[in-house]
Amino acid sequence: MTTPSVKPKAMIQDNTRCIGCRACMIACKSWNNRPADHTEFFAGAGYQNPVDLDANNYTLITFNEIVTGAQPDWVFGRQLCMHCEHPACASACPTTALTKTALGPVVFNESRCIGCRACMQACPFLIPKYDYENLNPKIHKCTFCADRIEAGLKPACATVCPTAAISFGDRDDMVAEAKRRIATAPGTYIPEIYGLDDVGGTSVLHLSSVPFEQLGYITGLPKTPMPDLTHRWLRVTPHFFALLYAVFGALTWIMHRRSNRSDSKGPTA
Amino acid sequence: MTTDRPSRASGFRIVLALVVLVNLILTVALITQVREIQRRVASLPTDLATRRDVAALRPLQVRQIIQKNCVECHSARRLGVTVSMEATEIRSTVERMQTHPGANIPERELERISASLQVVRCARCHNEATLNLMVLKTEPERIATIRRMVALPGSGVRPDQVTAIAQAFEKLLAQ
Amino acid sequence: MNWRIRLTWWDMVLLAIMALGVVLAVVRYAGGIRSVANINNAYPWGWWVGFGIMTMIALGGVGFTITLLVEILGRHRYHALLRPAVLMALLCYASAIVMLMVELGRPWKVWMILVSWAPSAALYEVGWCAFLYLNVLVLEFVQVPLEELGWGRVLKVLRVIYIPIMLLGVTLSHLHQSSLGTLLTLIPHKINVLWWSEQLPLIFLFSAMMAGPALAILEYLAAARWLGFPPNIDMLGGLARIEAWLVGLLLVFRLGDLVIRGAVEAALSWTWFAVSFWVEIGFGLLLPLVLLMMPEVQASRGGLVTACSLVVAGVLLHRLNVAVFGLRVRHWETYVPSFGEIGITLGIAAGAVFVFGVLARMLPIHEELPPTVASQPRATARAAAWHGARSVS
Repeated sequence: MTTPSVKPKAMIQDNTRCIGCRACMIACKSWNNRPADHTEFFAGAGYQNPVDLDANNYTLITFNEIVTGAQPDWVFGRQLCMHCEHPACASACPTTALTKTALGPVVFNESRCIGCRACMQACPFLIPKYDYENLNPKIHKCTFCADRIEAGLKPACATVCPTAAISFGDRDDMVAEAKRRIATAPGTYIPEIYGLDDVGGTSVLHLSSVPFEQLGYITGLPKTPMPDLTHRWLRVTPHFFALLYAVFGALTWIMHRRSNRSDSKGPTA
Repeated sequence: MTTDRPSRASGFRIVLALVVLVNLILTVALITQVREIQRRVASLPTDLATRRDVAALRPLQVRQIIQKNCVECHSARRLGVTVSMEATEIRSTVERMQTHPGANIPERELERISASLQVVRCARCHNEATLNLMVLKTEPERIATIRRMVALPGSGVRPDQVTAIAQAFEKLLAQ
Repeated sequence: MNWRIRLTWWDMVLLAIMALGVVLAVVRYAGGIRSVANINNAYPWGWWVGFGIMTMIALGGVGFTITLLVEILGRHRYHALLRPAVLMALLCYASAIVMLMVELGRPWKVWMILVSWAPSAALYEVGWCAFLYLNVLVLEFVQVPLEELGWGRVLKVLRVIYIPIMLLGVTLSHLHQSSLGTLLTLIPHKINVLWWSEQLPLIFLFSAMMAGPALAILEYLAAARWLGFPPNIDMLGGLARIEAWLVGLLLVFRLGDLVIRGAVEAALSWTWFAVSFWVEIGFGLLLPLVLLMMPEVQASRGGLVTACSLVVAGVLLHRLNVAVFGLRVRHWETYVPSFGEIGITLGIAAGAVFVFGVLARMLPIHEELPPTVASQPRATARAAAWHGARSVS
């Protein structure tokens, strides 16, 4: 529920300005108290390190060698929780441990988590990660620095980015800014804002100079919210229950009377 | 009456029933695939591809090369002076441009820019799409085409320039 | 109640498997999930969910299917199958809950589901319905030992509420069996096109209904062999004919759904997914359908065992295909169940079979058994005791 004074926030990830310095990854780990990892360089796609998001890394810069013109070049992408307007993870959680807040972040309340990992299955962007090694495991994902946002600050990644590839502000302003950038520099950007209306809209808007599939983004997602798919079945649950109960009750009664009638005519079965 | 193993006759009937059902399933699958193909064929564009469409798949990119390398510093009109130059003159002009600070002309682009400027003289009569048809020809065919142009009045192409222009096309196609 | 049971060598084998399961479970609790399981971030649900929870709950459908057949549709010809079916369902659901205690990251918090309000989550509905249904099953089954113990007053109460709670149980089963399918409709981009469908809830429900009679037949024949009574093959033949209809309808539904969704091309391509799909359809639906339609198979023990085992295996393969194998992941991500995972699920399954075997010898679960095996004075009331209001008349 958004009160007039609370406007939802959003973030622009402008991949044309990203230089792959990974300061955002470090700031994120620092703010979220994630431990340092022992990783293996060149374990995945070249300089990309670590290979994937995990319980200790809530955001990741993807290193992609794209051939534009005569020679290949780096084009960077970024993976993080998209903080969807209609989050599939929150709809799938049976204990409401994941909730969408008014300011925009989808926050995780670890005291409610039972570790069923339905959110991991549900997320179309494959974001939530689990620490299976832990004896008291929980879900790990970007928090949008919800605590910082509430205090009026910007998320950690947006604060440290040296090239202003990450912008942060009210969602309406960010959408307008993203559109403005594409309109004023059409040769630099492809005319697509990733996250604008994918799965019903998200709070993280990505801009790019090359098609998003080439940067490791998940594409081909519907423009409608994912929870709609289960909603259409789950909302008829009470009706279904009442209908079935009535039908079965009626059948039992009919069959009971029929067998009673045949019992009274002849020997018991 | 309980038998513990079905007899051979029923084994035959099991196989027969299976074959019939599998056939039925495959028939339905086949029908759906045929309908899908019909749908796809029906949605193909009614116009066949022309030679220009095919040629456009592998463009010469003359305009792009000149745009990227020359026009930033001086206008395209200045390039008009190259129409009367010989191949060697063009090359030395571009080499001179290389020495100018801020020109940023890489070595391997030198050949392509010279070739583009040589080919630009064909724009006297032809548009880009027509020129692009040269990519579909073989080398002897290209030379023959250029010779034909020499024979046309007002083309401005001399017989001794044929080889140089043909070589320019080769360089553009080799990129 | 027959307290003097002799444990056979088969019981010993089951106890050994259970012990292995317990040891592995201790390792899981002491060392975390990673110490026994291969599930990872790409495959958050693996063998434990695919087999230990989804298949167990599907097989637990034997309870509501036979109850529907005998009590609601009034086909009392099959009433001999009712008690074993309810006990099997009770043990299947109990097994699924035990599996959940191992599979969840934080099983000590599972009660959170009961104090939350999350109607948009399919798992929420599954959790609540399964919890309620387990209680229904307990209330239904507890009549048997209470009879033996002679707790007449409690029994009277139970018999009065029997019809309403029996109806509740059957209705709840329809809901949560289909909700397991609803859960997976949320991820069309992650489940292979061969298995994802908007009709997944119905597919899950119908396959659970199909698994019911198959499991009932298998149990009946196994009990006839192990407890030593002649099986009523005519009754089984009748049930086999009903089962043939259920298999046939599911086959048509699955293939029709495939055609309507336009996924036939994927089914006709040379991929492992297509192979698994056709194995599931061919051995799990097509072959049993043909077998169950033949009178010779309907009258033959071996034929029925073969056909029904194929049906049950088909349901297992379907659950695994939808929830695990058919998951689309990035090319470097992989999952193979570890020995730890398989060991724990086998331990739980062995536990269920063991408890069933013990209770079948202690209590009058099977009507065909001679009265000396069951306790004497209740023999006459036994047949009537299950049928709630009917016994009162």
